[in-house]
Amino acid sequence: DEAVRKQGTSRRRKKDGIDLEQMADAEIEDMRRRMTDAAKADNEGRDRGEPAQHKLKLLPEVVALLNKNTLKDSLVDPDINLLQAVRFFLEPLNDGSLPAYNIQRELFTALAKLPITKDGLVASGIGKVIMFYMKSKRPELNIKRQAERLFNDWTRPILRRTDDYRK
Amino acid sequence: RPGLTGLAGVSGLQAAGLDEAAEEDFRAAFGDGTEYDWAIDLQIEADEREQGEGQE
Repeated sequence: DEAVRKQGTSRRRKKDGIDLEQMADAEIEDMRRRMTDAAKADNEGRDRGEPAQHKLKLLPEVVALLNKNTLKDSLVDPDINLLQAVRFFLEPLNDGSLPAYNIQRELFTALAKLPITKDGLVASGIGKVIMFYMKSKRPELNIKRQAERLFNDWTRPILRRTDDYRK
Repeated sequence: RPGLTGLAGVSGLQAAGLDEAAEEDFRAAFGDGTEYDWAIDLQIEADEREQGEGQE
């Protein structure tokens, strides 16, 4: 398991005996758990007719973590799969309704700054949610535009069009 | 629902001159565009219900 984990990713090496990378990974894993729990709690609450507050409450911490430049590689690491929890935040609730507008706007903005890879997309399924935002009529226009921009950014390396080799 | 038709379709990708591997990667990353159709159906149902209520 560990061999696989190390192979597929280009991660920073540990230094001075203090494994900062491991600490960062643990922080991200912890957040992934909390996000997953919050998404579940909101869905269960919605079934009981309660307002969805768990994700909203956690959102500032999520955004702060996603904006940590030094953690970028770990944030998109398919093995840690924080992006899957981001997907849980953006998914429609059980009744088909969208998450709060702030969640949509802030997470789309944060996603645009992350170096998301094909493996990250496949592991997280976040591209499928982007497709949903493009397809549904519910999202605000600016959100739909953000979704389209992410889609374009993320498809470019996959589709390997000739104009990608300009660099 | 304008805008998306043909976008996610495999035939659309083939028409765009993509090789098979790229198509496979695309589908693995973005699905076939129908993963959340259950939610879209619920949204449409809710809209129709709302419209019906508005007319009464």
